[in-house]
Amino acid sequence: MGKQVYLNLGRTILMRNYMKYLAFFTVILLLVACSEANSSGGDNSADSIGEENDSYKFATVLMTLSSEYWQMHKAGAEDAAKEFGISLDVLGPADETQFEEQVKIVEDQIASGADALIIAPSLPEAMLPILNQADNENIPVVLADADVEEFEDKVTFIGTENYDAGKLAGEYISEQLEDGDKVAIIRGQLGAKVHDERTNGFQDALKDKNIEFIVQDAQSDRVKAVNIMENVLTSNSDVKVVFATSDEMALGAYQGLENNNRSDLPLIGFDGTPDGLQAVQDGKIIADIAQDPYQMGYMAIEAAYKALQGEEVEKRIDSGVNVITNENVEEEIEKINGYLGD
Amino acid sequence: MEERIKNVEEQIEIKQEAVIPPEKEGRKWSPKTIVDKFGALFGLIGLSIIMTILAPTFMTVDNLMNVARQASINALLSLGMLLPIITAGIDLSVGSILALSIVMGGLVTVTWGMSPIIGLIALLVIGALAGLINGLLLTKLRLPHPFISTLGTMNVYRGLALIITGASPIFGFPLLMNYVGQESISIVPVSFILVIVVAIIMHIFLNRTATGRYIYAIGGNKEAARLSGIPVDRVLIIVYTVSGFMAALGGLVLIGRTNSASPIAGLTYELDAIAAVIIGGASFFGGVGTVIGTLIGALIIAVLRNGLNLIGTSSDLQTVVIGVVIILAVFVDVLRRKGAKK
Repeated sequence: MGKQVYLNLGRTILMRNYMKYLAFFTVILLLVACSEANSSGGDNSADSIGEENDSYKFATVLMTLSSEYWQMHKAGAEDAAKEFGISLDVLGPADETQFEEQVKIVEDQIASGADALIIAPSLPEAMLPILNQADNENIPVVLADADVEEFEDKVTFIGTENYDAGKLAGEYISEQLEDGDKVAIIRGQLGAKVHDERTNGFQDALKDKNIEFIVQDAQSDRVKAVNIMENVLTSNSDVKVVFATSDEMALGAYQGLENNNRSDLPLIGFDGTPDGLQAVQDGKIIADIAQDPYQMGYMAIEAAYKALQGEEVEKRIDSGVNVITNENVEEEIEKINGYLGD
Repeated sequence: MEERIKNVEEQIEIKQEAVIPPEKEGRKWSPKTIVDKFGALFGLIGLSIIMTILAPTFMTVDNLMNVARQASINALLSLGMLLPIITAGIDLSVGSILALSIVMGGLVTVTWGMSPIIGLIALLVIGALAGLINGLLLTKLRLPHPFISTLGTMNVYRGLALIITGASPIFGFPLLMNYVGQESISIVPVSFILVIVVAIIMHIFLNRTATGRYIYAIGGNKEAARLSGIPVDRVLIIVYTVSGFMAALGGLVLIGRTNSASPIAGLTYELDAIAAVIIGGASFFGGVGTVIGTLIGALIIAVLRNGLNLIGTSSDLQTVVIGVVIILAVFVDVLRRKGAKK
């Protein structure tokens, strides 16, 4: 008898707890969401910039926010938003491979009434249907970093001319190579246009040298690049130069070289991220083809703003690259610290 | 001999009784059974209310249709995943099956230029075939747990998808293949209608057919099921084949949504599917899980992502919130079970 009473009591307590946990969780979720919605300024990745009663609300949707490259783009976009008095959300999926998630974010931004969209699509063609929808609703779209060529109604495409930039890298290293040398190219996702163009530009610059290229896909991942570099050194120990189509991979490649005591090999990176520039300063990378994501972010907001004001915007804007070597690396680092600082 | 057969039949009878879902044991609508049966639904409603408060645009028809569209792929994968999980198994390969089936569909229709109907059939057959292989590996090779067989095929199928396409995405699908993912009937996305139809079929399959009941029986106790004459191997093969088929259906939706078939599509989708099934009240120990719960689980994830996007929350934080929801959902389940036992 007594046992039964205790059991019943126990059950009641458990049920009560259960409801308590539910309530607790609801409150937590509310708090988290509220603090997110109200946050302004600071290091959060999706702050709203500017006054609440701003006339325009823009959304910048990047491939991801989890790299310094995209953080610089974000900094440029936010500075421009501040200058033009625009309220801006900067969003992106947790990883560059999540292209469907990125489509969802754009859909949600259209639903929440963005006045203009700035998009850096990770799989451009996948973005096409939703871009057409945005166009149907008369929302101006600026493409940044990667173009969607089939989408003709964009305001503009702002980005690095990747083929030219790759060519610049090839020209830079050209004199250190002899006829028939082996060159390793560690590139991002096969089929990703940006990496195709960089690779092609680099190869074309070295066309008349009869170079044997060893091209490997490290999917823009630092750790994968380490393994690939090690494997390349094992199978082709006479490789003369390494070109990585992003800094993340260049840093991984350096690790691979170092693990095999071959850190003397000339290594060229691409992007100009703070880590990459640091590596140039430390002599790990001899040259870094630096893009200007800050400029890209800034110009994209500016272009969208101009379009809404009815001003003319060029259909293709090159945000430019610089070859960074140990001669000019300090200047570049100072410039970037300035961007990320505020 | 005859007696033995009769004996086995009796055992099956007993097993089936034990396996029949509890709703048949009499409908008592005490507050506790309501919470038990519809806990996840309350979660979904509560969540929607919170989102409505935080994001004024959440409760608009346009946005709700967005949620329905965005939930579709995961819902289809989750409904497939439900079966292995009910049998106390798992299918880690669904994301890769999705990729393999869509690139096969792309190969047939875009590269080879065959009729979209053949492409559609190829896509679905490849999905089912990939699932069938999972089932055969598990039952014929006697691999100890589907975690291992499907972890293996997850890599194999992904690799095949990359090899088939040379790692490049395929674009430009014919209208028929895009239809499900892209179009709406009036305002309701076709993809969501597909989800509902499939869910109804799945519900009937699980609750009204012998095979459906065997699936629960195997999850309850595999050895007992075997002893009572249930063709365990055959049922498991069906389970994994259906799971593969559902992944291909999800792929069909993805083709329309992104207008493309990328070999890296569906990365980590298996995790979202598992999450939806578990949030929907299924148990990793098998024998438990419902279609309606799974559907609600998928909707909870979609509402969370959509709502947090509308508020402008970073995807990093979204990941945290979804993780917390999974843990809480299972924790509540554990409490409930404890309560029920005492």
